[in-house]
Amino acid sequence: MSESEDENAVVQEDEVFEITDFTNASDWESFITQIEEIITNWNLTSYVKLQPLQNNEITNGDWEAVTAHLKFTNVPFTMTLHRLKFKPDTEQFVEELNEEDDDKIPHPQYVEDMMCIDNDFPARAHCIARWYGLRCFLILSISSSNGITNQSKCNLLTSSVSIALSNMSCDVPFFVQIQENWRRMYEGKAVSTGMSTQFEMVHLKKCPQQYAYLSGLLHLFKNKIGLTSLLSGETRVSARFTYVLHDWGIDGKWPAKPPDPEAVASHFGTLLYGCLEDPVTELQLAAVWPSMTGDLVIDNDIHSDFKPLSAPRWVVRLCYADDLTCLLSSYLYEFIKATNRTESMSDLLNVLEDHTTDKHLGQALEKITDPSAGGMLPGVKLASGLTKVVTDSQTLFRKSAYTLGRIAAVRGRIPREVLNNIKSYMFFQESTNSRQSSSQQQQASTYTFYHKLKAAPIDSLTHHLAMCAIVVNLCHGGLSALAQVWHVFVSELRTMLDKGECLPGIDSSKPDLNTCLLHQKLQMLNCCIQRKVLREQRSPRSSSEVDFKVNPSFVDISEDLTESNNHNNHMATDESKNETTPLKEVDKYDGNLETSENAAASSNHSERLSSNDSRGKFSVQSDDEDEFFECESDIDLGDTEQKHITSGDQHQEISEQQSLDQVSFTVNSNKTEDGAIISRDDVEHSTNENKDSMVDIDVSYPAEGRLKPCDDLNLLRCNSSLFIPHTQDHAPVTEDQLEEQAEVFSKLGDTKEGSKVRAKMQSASLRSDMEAFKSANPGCVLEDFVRWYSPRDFENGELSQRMKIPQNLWVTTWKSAKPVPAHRQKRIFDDTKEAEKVLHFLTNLKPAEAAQMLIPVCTHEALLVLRLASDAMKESLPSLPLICNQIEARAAQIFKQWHMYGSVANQFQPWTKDIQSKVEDLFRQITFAETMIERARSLQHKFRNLGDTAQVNAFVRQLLEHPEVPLDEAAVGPVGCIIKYYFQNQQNIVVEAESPLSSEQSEDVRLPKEIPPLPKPAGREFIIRASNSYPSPFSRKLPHRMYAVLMQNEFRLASAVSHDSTFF
Amino acid sequence: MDAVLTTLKILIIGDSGVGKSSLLLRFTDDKFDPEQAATIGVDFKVKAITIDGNTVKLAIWDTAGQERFRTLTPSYYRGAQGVIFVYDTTQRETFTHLTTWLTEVETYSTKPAIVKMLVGNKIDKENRQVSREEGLKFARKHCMLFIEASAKTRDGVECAFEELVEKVIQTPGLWEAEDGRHGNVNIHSTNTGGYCQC
Ligand SMILES: Nc1nc2c(ncn2[C@@H]2O[C@H](COP(=O)(O)OP(=O)(O)O)[C@@H](O)[C@H]2O)c(=O)[nH]1
Ligand SMILES: [Mg+2]
Repeated sequence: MSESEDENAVVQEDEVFEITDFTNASDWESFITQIEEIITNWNLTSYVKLQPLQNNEITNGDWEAVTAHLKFTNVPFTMTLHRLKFKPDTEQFVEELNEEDDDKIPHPQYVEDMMCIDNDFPARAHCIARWYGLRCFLILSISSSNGITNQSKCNLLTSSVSIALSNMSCDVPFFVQIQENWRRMYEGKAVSTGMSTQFEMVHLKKCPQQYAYLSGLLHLFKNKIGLTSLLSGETRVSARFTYVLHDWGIDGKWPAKPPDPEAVASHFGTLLYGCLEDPVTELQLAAVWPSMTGDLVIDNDIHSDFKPLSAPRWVVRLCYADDLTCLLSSYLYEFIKATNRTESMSDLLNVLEDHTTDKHLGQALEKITDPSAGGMLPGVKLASGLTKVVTDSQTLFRKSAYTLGRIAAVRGRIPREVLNNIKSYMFFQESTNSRQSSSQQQQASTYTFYHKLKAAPIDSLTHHLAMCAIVVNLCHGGLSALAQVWHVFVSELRTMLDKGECLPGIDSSKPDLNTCLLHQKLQMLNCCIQRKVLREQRSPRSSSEVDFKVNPSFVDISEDLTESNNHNNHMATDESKNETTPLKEVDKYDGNLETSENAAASSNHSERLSSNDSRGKFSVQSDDEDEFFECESDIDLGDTEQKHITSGDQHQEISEQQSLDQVSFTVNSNKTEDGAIISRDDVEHSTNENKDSMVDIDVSYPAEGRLKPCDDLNLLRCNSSLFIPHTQDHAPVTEDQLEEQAEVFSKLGDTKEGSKVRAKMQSASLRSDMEAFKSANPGCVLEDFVRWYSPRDFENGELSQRMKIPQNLWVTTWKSAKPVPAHRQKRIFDDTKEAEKVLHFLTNLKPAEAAQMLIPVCTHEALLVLRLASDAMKESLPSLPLICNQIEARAAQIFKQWHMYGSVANQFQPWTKDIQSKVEDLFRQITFAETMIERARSLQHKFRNLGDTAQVNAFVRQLLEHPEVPLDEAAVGPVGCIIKYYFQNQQNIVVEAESPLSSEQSEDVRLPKEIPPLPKPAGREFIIRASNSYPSPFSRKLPHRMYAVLMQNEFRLASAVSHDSTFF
Repeated sequence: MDAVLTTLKILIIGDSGVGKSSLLLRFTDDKFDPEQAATIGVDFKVKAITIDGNTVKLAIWDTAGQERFRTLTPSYYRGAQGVIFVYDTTQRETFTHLTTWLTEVETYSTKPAIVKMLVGNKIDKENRQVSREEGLKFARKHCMLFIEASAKTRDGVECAFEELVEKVIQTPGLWEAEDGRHGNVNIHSTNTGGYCQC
């Protein structure tokens, strides 16, 4: 029954009350009626009897709590029913209490429960259940204010409830909470057939001297229930003494060796995990004596029979540190802090008047990172300022910052050698990661974990950067350190671009949209560098730029001729080719490009690769081609190239052209992909006047830029194979650029006009492909192109209807396309500009923004670490892998939805509060998992001598999964022995501390003094039970119970005394 | 209720020539235009539709489908709530190609529960090569909505789009704005079972 329903019930009751004629009824009567209503709603209106409680059922069973609201005068109260849920199979056992002979009246359920000894001292239960052993009870408490402190008010309430319950034949014990809530004081009563039970409590700060031992308590209890006879065997006593171990000693302490701050600070390869202090703060050992005959046990101020080492049962319970500082979590929390800072690079350094130029900033940074500079540097000032910010921070993660402050000496500037290490780790270091090398192959193209998280591959430059950033942020002075690393990183990128060196640890594929934006940007930069290299490797031989521009085609040909010569002297040329022409290198790059194409393009990829196999066959065909060319070569030559040819000896030139074709094919097919995509951008064919290209079929030029034949197709109008041309690659783009493009497209609207403009905007690559196609297939027509490009638009020997629409973009583009091989087309992709864009983007990021961009990469790393750790612990923590799954799924969800850009490309968009809180939440989950792991590791360490690994794991698992674990064979069992050992160690330390003056004289005195194996109990609990006639000797014999707990600062008695209400 | 509650992003993919643009034109303008040119790159159309009293705006992105244009499309998968896979019932290879398209969507879509619909088009034509049962089976296997349609005769077209939108609205968390960029709008959502309405 839900709370709101109950509320309704109460409200209804009020209404009924007002409408009917009970206007004279007192507040008291109204209150009773409300209670009766609630009791009815909860179906507590008959005396029922359930199966006896099973062993430990109070701890292990499912409890439910239902609450209803009610009012006395205008004061609101709540009534709560706490109840152990019925097990389905016990429900049938319900039997009605039947009234028979007076003597044989069975006890009500609650009395049975109270007297049941199988649930003494439950490990986990509501305090009422613990003190009285009840499985079902009601609690009336005042909703507001500080509780009921007035005794007469309390009596009034108690009697109201008591009347209501007995009216309704409800024998569930009820309690009224009195005094301040923290005192957990209750007074209660239960009413059943012919009897009632009074529940009373005493709560004191100090234990009165006369009740300090069982003897005194027994005396008190017997008095209370009028047990005067001297007969023994009438009281039963259960006892539980608790001993606390808080010092595990050298053998038990965890971490056995705390992490070395210096090591942490210089460890960039992976994130480390583990706690800095012991997650297991305390072990509580309880020695338990189940129900014994009370009068036979001696326990007084002189002697006690309660010897814990010989107690029949030992039970342990652990206490864990609330707010554990763990390394993995600290990296993350500190990093999150960095992401919230607003300082720009220059703010951080606090030295620049001129905030605009990077140059100044760079100088400042150089100064700050230069150890030769004096001690009066702003860095010092900065460091203290930063410490203040960190320690003043009101964030959740204050404590970790504090603790790690000890690891991470806050420094303003990173020492130069450290910075150099960082730089070489980022840019030069080979993979040291064993995780990596095994999975490297599959990572290249398949969809892996880092894709899921939209992070970056392990050991990529991005990953290395992230590792350095997160480590220096924790260990080298926070944000200012981050700023320095970022500066070094971006400067190095600039240098590499200028020098034309490809980025290490960035594959040569196009930006992978399933990685984080930063990784895409680096991939983009790498693409730019590669193309720059290609271009520059080709152009130096063309003497000078000027020459090149004056007669580009001439240069081209001569260059290619060199190639063909090389080819002709095939045997000798491999080396010389290397020296004289860098083309081989060029093709190598393309090989790279191809192999790292991502999955989406792989079908394409394999198609092209197959050209390798067809090489032999092709050579034959290409001979045929040459024949054909010669035949046609006297036709008017319109192309620039042709002009050049006419100027020389035509015949000879053409034969050279043949071999050129062969060469370029051989070279290319060897390395698969087009080797000449973007060179010679200076030649801008597309802007030349193109009157001549309107000629219907133009076969007036030699074929150039062929990749391979397209199946077995022949051109429609000429007797020649149809060739797939080398084409310009699609320009690499990052997701923010795509988003920007999509935005532009959608702004054009959904009108016909908009549609046309969109198509036009996207037709550049179509035109480029058409020109390349024409160049590779002299004499081709649009039909030929369509057969390759969009085969379904060529049906029954003609173009599809839609392709035949006059003036459609395909037709018009085709008409205006000139035959230009891809390598001489204007490059679609301007790598110089794009590289600058990337660098500009990175340079302008604030350190905090850079940190945000790295969060997915750092999280990816953290999750890998967590997964490894969790796999290692799964024997002790079988639920952990599932938790890891959940965390990973959550992370994937968050990072896939997180856009780091707006509608304009190359503009970073700081994260929203929403994303931030999701990420923080994720980190909390990681912390939780790490804490669990550390608990388990700590316990494994502490109990490592228990037996083989499986035994240790099994015991640790028990400890982690249950609030209390009973020990086999108590003190003499295997666990018992280990625990005794720890206690003994703790005792030795304590005793030494107590008598520090072990001078020579006192030595003899000390020796015989035996150190007790266990400390004084921190708490003692007793349950005393008895049956006796009460209130008078003529009354029926009824069961009574008293619970007592005696601790250093608390003394509590909870008694339940039953009255015979029939005979007294 | 006329207020537009939210904009849903829908994507139409499939091989070139299967009738994607024609289906879209039929849906938005109730026209069939044999003079429709082959799409270059991506194109898009907008249409508001009202379902169960809720008006939603659809931004539908149409794609070209040719190999060479493929690399352009992944960006459009981002943030899409629904995707329509189209094949031509008279061209078997357009049907066998569907797995490639599926992989692509799975790789690039950012919504974990993106709603997928399979449309077998051109059922008005005679030389059918893919039976309805095959289509159904494929859709069931990949948890897609399924319908056969003809852009020419308008059979199934409107129904396809409506079903898809309804499903998107019913899928918890799917139509909500990403990372809170556009304020959250609350459409009542009824709970229905899994999506195989085949
Ligand atoms: N008979 C018939 N033809 C269709 C149908 N849908 C499209 N077409 C034709 O198929 C060709 C390709 O259609 P289009 O919409 O451009 O395909 P898209 O490339 O997938 O966008 C055009 O000639 C259309 O007229 C249809 O349902 N029935
Ligand atoms: Mg189309």
